[in-house]
Amino acid sequence: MDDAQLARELQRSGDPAHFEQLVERHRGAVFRLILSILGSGREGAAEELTQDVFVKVYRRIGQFRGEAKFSSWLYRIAYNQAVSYRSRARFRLPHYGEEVLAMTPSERPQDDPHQRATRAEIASAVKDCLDQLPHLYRSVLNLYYWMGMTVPEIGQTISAPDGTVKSYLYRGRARLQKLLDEKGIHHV
Amino acid sequence: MSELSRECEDFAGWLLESTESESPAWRDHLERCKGCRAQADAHSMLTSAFAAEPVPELSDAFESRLARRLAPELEIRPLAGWRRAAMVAYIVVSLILLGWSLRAVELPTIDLSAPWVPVAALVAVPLSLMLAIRVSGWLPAGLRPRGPGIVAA
Repeated sequence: MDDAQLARELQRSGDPAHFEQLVERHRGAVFRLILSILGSGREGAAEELTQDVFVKVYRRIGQFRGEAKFSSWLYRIAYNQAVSYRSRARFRLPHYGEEVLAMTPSERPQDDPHQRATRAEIASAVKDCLDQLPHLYRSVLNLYYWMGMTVPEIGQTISAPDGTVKSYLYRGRARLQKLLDEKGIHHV
Repeated sequence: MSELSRECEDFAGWLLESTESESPAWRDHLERCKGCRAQADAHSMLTSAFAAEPVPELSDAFESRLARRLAPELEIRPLAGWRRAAMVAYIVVSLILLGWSLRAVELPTIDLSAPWVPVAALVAVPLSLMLAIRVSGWLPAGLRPRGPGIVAA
């Protein structure tokens, strides 16, 4: 059964087995989408919100009319939930300790400690600046660079054609670079 | 991206297919084009920033926690499918039996002015309703219990 058929069966019978199948299919994507909006270091909150999204979907399954794809409807709920959480929560960047900073990004044996420290500072600054971008740009950049998703995969997740995703990536990078320039952070 | 030159569009496309941010083939263009230089720098810094960051996964406890949260809602399900058919059959059979028994049996006369009649009605009506809900698992949507969590209705 495809997603729409499962949703219709769930509406008709209320059988939790259909709901479990939908959760199984989409939980990973919902979690990654939410985390891409919340940002690095907030995995716990993202998992909690993923739960909230599926609880909400179960309660609102009667509102799914099948006019759009089920995944689009679901991901829209997840996106709104994450954006709403960000606006409600007092958002601070997670604290990166010395040890974590020393480990990120990937250590290269040939780098001296100074270079490693510089790279760690840049990585931290990049995440800081990502946090200041509009939700959509931050989400697309995180999905692409952090989660390793392809352009078509991101397109499915945010319900946008490939050309639009590429455009978001382009504009997101441009705005990120502008923020990094303002902070005096440059590529080494 | 529509205002970009053909060369800039080609570079943006190349950037998405490459793990590098520079190539000898693009050196001249990057020296001339500030916008593409910024794209290359941002691409490089993003790649580097997330190089050691593991791709996050949900915890193993996700499903069991979700099942616990939904448990109150799953217990009482909307009247649908075979439950609806069973409920309709139950009502029809009950009415037929009631009609038949009323015709066959001479019922004792009840003094409706007796003080125990309204008391019995007050007890019997909600009790029978609760019994029907319990048997059928049905409850109007507005009265269904809400589980814990931060989800707004």
